[in-house]
Amino acid sequence: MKALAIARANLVRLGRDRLGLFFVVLLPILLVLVIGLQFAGGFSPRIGVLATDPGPLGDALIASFDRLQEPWQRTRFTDRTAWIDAVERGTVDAGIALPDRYDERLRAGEDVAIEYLVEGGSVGIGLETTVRALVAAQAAEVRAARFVAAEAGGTAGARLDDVRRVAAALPDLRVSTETAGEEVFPAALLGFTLGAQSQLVLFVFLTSLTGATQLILTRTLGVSRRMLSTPTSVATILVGEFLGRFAVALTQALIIVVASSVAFGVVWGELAGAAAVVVAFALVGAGAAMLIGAVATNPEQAGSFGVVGGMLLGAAGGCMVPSEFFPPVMQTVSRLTPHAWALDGLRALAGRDATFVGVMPQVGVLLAFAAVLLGLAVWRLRVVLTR
Amino acid sequence: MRAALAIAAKDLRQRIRDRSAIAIAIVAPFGLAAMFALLIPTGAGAFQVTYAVVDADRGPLAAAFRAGPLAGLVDAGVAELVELPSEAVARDRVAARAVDAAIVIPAGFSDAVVAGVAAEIVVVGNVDANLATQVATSVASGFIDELAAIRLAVATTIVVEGSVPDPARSTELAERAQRTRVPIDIVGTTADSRQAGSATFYAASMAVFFLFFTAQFGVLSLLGERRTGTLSRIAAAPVPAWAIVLGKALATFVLAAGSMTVLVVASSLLLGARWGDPAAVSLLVLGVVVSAMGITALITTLTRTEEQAGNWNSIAAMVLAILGGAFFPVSRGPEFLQQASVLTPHAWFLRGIGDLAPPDAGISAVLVPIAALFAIGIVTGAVGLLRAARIVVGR
Repeated sequence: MKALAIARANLVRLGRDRLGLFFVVLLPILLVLVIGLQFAGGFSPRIGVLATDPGPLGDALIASFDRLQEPWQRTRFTDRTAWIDAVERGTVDAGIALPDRYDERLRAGEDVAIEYLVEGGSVGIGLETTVRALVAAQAAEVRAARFVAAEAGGTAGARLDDVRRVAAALPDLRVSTETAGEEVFPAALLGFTLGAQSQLVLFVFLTSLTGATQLILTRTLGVSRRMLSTPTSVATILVGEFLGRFAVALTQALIIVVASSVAFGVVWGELAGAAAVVVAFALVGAGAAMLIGAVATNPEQAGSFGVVGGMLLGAAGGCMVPSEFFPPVMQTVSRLTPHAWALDGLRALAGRDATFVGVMPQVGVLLAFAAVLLGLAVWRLRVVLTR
Repeated sequence: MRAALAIAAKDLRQRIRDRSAIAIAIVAPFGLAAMFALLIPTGAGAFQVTYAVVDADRGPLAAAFRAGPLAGLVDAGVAELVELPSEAVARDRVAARAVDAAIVIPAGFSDAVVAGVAAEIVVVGNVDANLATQVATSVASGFIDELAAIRLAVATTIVVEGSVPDPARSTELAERAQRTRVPIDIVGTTADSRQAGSATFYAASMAVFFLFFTAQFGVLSLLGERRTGTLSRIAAAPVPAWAIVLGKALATFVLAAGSMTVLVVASSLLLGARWGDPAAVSLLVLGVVVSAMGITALITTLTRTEEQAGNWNSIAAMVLAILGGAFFPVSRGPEFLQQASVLTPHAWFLRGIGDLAPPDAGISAVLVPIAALFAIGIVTGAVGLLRAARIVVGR
């Protein structure tokens, strides 16, 4: 019971610290929101279209970007400088510029040139093929219309309708596209989910590490010595402090889970499985906090090393950039962090419908991390607490 | 003035002895920048794919397709081609992502096209290779569209003329149609890149993020000295209020500008960051230091205790960094986010560093970001300094 009282004191201290609350509650949610907004549009290519006077044919060409299997994001420009600027700064991946009086000139039998602008070395060069194909589709119509006009009379503009009518009746000559394989990021993970999982793992650990300062204060202010002068065993204090850190970590995790699922519709997967991963990871965080609290000599030291260490481990574990994007060596290194295992478990739950049993390997590894960290911490703390 | 220098020197000594200050000012930003530079694979912008080609048709059109558009992809250095015997093998390779996509020309394709019945080329792409699949589809479509254009021209002519379909006439029309010009041409041009490479971007973004923790130090220590009573004692000596504020500001400036310089140099030497024209970078660094000092001075003087000030400064540092795109570029974000980012020094600093990416870019390329940074700094700093002087006078 005394252990619970010590744990409770830890939670109350957190609640009183406004800055603490900002970092524990608001910041992760804020990041989930911003990251989610970033990727709400997915990774579809972005094209900047410069057109002052596209006419019906120009409009049709521009609209054809929306009918691609993976529609592109279009931004319309009327100012040439702004269009070039957008390509150079990477706000769009590539740009096309339709010449003036595009429709009119094509109908009048004039040839036109469309400008395609990419920033050197970018992905835009790969996009050129798609742009060429869309333009070729329109060119085919116009070319046919001109041919008909030349063979059977009339103007190219007027013959366009005949061409379209016949085209609709012709048997299909087409390219069919299918996909194969298993997605690295199933659709369920896109949007806010990936970000929410990463931020949960990053922040639960970060808060735990910076929370180690509490333990050092308990030590240096003599709170532990005073507790020890009462009939309280070292074990009780250790359990209490550990429960305190664990409670803080778990509370933060719960807030992120609930807020993100209510506000942004984030999917966490099967309840029992998600709970197991989150609890196991909170145990790892609490264990790490105890270890730092045992080893560090002053709160400032623990505070700054906690922030830096938490960020570095988080980054290595794939909380900032998904580890799937790492070079192979770093992917292996990443497996040495508890973050990677926690993320792996959460992704399996949300993206691949894994169940409690399915995430047992990840939970097992996390529990092993927690046991090692906690073991080391207890071993050190038994010495320093009684000093 | 001597008093101001003495205060600045004392503050600097005090600060440099505190190891956590160095951790925040240099170690943390450098460590994170190194981490990001390491994590994000280099050459992520390059587009290079592998396609499997299955030619079950073996007809003249399949040969034309392979010799034309597909060979073109290889020549352009965009794709590598692997020939596979059957669609089933190709599908397995795609599923395992041994290749990004497979392009399958089914048996009987050439005959079907000539006979005027339905025909197709099949592209099987790996689920995660969206772009590679799209490119493969586009290449095939480009080829098919050429066939379709001619077929369409011939068919429409026959329909419009109302003549009875006659193979000889069709062939004659097709030959003529083939010789017509393609009315729309595409002219590709390459623009200058005004985006910093990932090592440079993260070195810059982490430097400016942590700068806000370093820059608050001067005014913060003013609050500290008021609490411990040393401020009254300094003020009791014949030292004017402005000299105290100036001394504090000077120490902060040296510390902030110094750590930024260390970061620029260290990231260039160790991370391969390329910051660009030194004079322009210096001015951008000066500008961002001034604006960070201005903003933190303003926030700090609006609070009463060091703790409060520390809290609000941290919150501001985080929010401004997120809005300013220090953690991830805001360019993919919604419009309002992009507009809000104009209010942050982070966005202007990073934009300036991006503008310096072309090799010939100098100070003239970054005049607007520099002006914006100094404007933010001078406006917030003027108010902050006035309020700081009031702290000294009012104690």
